[in-house]
Amino acid sequence: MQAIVQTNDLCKYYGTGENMVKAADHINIAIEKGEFVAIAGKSGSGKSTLLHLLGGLDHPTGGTVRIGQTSIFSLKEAELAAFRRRKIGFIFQSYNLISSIDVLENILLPIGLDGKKADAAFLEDIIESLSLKDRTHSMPNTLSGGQQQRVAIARALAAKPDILLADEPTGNLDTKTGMEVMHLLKTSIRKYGQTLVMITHDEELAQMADRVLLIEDGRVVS
Amino acid sequence: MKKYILSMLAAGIILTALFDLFLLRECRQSYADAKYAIAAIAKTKETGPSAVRWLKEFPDASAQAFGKELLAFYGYDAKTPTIWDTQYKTTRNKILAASAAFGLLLLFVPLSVLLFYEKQRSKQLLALEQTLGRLQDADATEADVPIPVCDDRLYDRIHSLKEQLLGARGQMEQEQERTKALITDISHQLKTPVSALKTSLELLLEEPLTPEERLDFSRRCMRQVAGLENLTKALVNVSRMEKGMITLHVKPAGIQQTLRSSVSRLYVIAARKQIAIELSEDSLEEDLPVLHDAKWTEEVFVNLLENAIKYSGAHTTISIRTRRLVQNLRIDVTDEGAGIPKSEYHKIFQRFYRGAHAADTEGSGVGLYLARELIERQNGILYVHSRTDGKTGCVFSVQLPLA
Repeated sequence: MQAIVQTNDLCKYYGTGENMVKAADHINIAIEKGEFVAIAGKSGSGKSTLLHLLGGLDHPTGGTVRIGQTSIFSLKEAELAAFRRRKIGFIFQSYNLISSIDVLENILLPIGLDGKKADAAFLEDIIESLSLKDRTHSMPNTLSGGQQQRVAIARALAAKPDILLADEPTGNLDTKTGMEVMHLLKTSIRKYGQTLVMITHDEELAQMADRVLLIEDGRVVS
Repeated sequence: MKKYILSMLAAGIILTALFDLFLLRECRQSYADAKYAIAAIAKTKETGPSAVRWLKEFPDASAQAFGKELLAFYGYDAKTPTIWDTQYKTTRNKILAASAAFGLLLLFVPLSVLLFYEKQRSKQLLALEQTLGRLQDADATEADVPIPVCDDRLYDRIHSLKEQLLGARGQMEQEQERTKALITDISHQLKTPVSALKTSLELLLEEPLTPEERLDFSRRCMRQVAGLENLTKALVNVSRMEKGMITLHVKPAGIQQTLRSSVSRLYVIAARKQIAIELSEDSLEEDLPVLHDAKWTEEVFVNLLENAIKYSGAHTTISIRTRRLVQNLRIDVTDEGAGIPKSEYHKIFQRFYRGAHAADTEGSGVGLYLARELIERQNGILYVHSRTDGKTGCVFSVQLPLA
């Protein structure tokens, strides 16, 4: 079975000499298609760095990341950007919504940019699941933090990417809403055969994953 | 495409031929007119003013008749070629040659276009054939099977065929991996109790024992057999689940009946341990219809309650509460047992995992794995968390989609 995400001696160092910090230290992991993997670890352990490298948002000091058949760091910058847009959905703690357009337009943005047509039923499903139905025409800055995070999640799901990379996706939500969002993420990946890599420091969320990778000092320890 | 080009070609040739016919007729007419006009001009010498006027005023027929007469007088009959007849022939030949050239061009251009397309087409077909051939190859991966450029509908068809085939193959491989892992797990699980049973039986058979010792070993054997029986049951369920032999019939129905059924199956066992089971509906909510398979969901709650009873002390309460969420209904099973360390949360749902503190309690380590699998197959989730009211114990929550 071929992994959909595979890293080979992935390294990311900051600083030099004695001040050198190894945020990623020869990481070799393989994630299968349809798998839900949680990356757990204390803050500063390098879990966010790993996620950024997997999504091609940051360049490694050494090593490779292969997604599907593509070694992503051998792509040109513009190709990498297009690759990210088509294959990867990002859900971050900071929502990165565009404040001048409404909620629905924010959700449709990545699909619209690629000239793809939105799957109307799926879109409705997401919007309803995330309780954004009454908010589709609100401007982002009129929403609460939790609502904004839900918009960001809807935006990531709407394009039905092969891989979802999430950094503490429910970090700003209360437990009840958080678990409902997790429910949606789990159902979505099961239904659409997506792969989810999620960073969390929360064991309650980590238990939802098929597998938990524990990161310490830039290394996968279990 | 081919049909279109061929019909265009035919239409072009017919039009050219018609145009030629028309041109030749006009040409012959004008030479004939000229032939007789000369006679007419000769006549004007006799009749006066102007040839043009004469030609206008007199009908052609009389000019022609006069011209014929005059030509006949000089010995030119209709069959003898005049200079005009010769000129007509030259012009006619030129027109025919030009038409033939034009016709050839008309033939050549579309035919070469047609040939070009034919060639492209056969190239495409060859590429498609190769693609399909590669797709048959058992080891083919996504990149090994590029789809050649072809028309959109064909591309879509082949693309979905490819996805389907590669997907099915991937699933098959996964399936095989899972079966292998399952067999390994099962053999590990069976080895220990079987060898313990064997040791006890050997002692019973071979060692000289007092009646008390004999009874003690017999009881031990009985316990081991009972444990094996439970394990086999669990393994059969896991195998059936893994092999897709469990079919879930998800229907919208109230969850209360399902919960009541599972409580009634365990009420006696709980009472024997002096544990109370409370089933309370969220007082604000009626029994909302939830999409679930009643039979297997009941098994899930039986499993959760069995666990709660197993790990709870006497004089404690296990409560079951439902709570309406936006899209789902949540059912919490809360106990007052020792609780589960957070670091074990993600491990307890793994197949054959048994917590460190669970070693002295009976169990196969597949119950929660099966329970989660059953719930997730109904588009629900199952997870554990600690109590929020400060008491010890844990809460197992099931979220199922509201109908």
